Amino acid sequence: MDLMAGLLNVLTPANLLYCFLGAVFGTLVGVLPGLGPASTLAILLPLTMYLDKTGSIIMLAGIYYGAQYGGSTTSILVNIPGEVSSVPTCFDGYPMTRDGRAGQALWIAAVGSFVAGTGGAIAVTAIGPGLAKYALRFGPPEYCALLFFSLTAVVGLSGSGLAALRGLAAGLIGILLSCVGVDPLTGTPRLYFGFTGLMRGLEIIPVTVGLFGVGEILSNAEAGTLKIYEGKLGKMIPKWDEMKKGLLASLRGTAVGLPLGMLPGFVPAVSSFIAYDLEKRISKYPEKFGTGVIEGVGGPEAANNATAQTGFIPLMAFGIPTSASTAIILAALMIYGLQPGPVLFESNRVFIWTVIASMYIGNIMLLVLNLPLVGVWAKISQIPYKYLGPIILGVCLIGAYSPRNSMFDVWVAIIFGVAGYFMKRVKWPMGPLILGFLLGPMLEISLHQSLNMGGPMILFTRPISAALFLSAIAVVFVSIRYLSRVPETVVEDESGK
Amino acid sequence: MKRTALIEGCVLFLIGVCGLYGGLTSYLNRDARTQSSAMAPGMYVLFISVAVMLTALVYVFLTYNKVPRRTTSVNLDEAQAPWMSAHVICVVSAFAIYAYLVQWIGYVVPTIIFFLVEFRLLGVKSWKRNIVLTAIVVAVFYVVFIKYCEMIFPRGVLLE
Repeated sequence: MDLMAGLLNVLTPANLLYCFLGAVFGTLVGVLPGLGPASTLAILLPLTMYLDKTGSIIMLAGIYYGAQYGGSTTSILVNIPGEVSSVPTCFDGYPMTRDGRAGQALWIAAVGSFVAGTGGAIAVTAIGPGLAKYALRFGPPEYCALLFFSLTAVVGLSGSGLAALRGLAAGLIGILLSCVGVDPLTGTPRLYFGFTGLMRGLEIIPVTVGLFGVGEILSNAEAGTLKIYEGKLGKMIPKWDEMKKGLLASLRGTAVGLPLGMLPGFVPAVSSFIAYDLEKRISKYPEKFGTGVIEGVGGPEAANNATAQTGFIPLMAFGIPTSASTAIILAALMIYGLQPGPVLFESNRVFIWTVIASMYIGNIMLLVLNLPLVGVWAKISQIPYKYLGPIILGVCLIGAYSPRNSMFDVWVAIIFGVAGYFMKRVKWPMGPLILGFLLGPMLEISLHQSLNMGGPMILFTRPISAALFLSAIAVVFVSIRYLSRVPETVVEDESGK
Repeated sequence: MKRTALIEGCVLFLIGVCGLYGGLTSYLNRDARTQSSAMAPGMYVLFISVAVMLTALVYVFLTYNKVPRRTTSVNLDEAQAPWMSAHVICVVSAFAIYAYLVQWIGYVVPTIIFFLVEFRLLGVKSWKRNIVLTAIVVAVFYVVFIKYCEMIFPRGVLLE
């Protein structure tokens, strides 16, 4: 009933427009190599303050899951992944293009993405509200443990060895930066080092705009123009036998991506590699993988979409983002004064169900945008950075300035832009930093409340919090084992996107 | 690789020291009313800062003593020789000067100069195309942000 009300609400012209814009922007950032969903969300976040709250969240969500659709286009046509999560698509997508089967590869990528996206939306509908009700049992110790678990998982998935240490350090720096300003418990200023501007604290928008927007433009300042595939796409719809194989792979990819999306740190890139690995392992002809096998396109594409979509479940139910992109969507919710969790499902019922319903509509829009218009996207991916870069920098300045009409925030964005550029160069993950920055204050408050409730032992004696602390330890072990199958550079790159 | 890791470790340690200083300041200057609290002001910051410093030390120690098998620490010394290319320095400097000029002479004029410079820096070599692009982008920005969104930019200290 709630979903029907949400569907009716999303079918209003304004919400349909926002949904469409999200799908278009998402596909656009997906096809433009170098511009990730997190950067785009960060750049557009300040501008959404001028929009209606439902519309802007619909649009931001559309950008996030839409980018997973668009990422496959350049992977298949030019062997350059638009997103890191589309790297496995290159392995078999590009060989299919060279065989004159580009159309079929694009078809299965789009349909697989649609199957997974819709599956993810169904999972959000079915699990989200139930999980939110379960969240009512959470007191400060449980929230503290949940935040610890989320941060640990994200850090654990930054890689292994020194990469994990870099993730840990980035997360801790994020928490430290969130402490700048006023102590939330005593109201006294801290970590401002005599700068009055710092007494107001660091805003999430200039930090994200700097790290992701400015940093990305600086990193890509010297990027050249892609040479796009100029041959014919060939027949779009595969033969029945091929279609069956591709669709079954998509279903398996969806099954892989759905549960992983709910775990913090399992970004779409990780699940797409796991899905590709799975397809190869269960295939009767694993030696043919890498030469243009349709399962090698359908599986990973479905997995990354399913993961992106189900990332909304912990975000909506607990207010826990699982990646940098969902962290920025959480920031948007906070800007509108909406605290995700059980209360959101009760007090903002229309809003939350409209956003969930928009995911179904958004996936249909993305299918339409990505199949008949694939040629247009392929051409758009040729737009060189020399035109995009200055425009994005101009938007970044406005984005950093607008939340508080403060030039101090612009300087914060520039400083974080330079920091983001260096972090990209030395492969330091930005995901843990931004998650630490967002979750740090919640962690501090819940930790303080827990300690006041019953000392440190309360964190380990209550069943849910104890289980979450144990899960934090377990997830590090499990993730390190799984990460051995994913190239480390991919995990690091995706952490920063 | 080791030099890069050492620089990373030092920066990280320095951040930890700054946090430690801030945390200690908060702790030592704490209000008497907060004495009964389970976590005194500054303790949280102190704890995080110490964790940052320890991570920095472990990071440098591991780099110098035992590099794990699967680690792909980036070798800036070999792969990307300069820490920041002159080109990127120019792009970020133009952006910083733009932000500075906005404070002094308002939004519109610096925006025009910024786009002319940035388009040129990022590869639009033809001045004719550069001017046309700048005119279009500035016009769109003006209509969208100043007219439609009604954003209030600094008028400029020199012009007030």
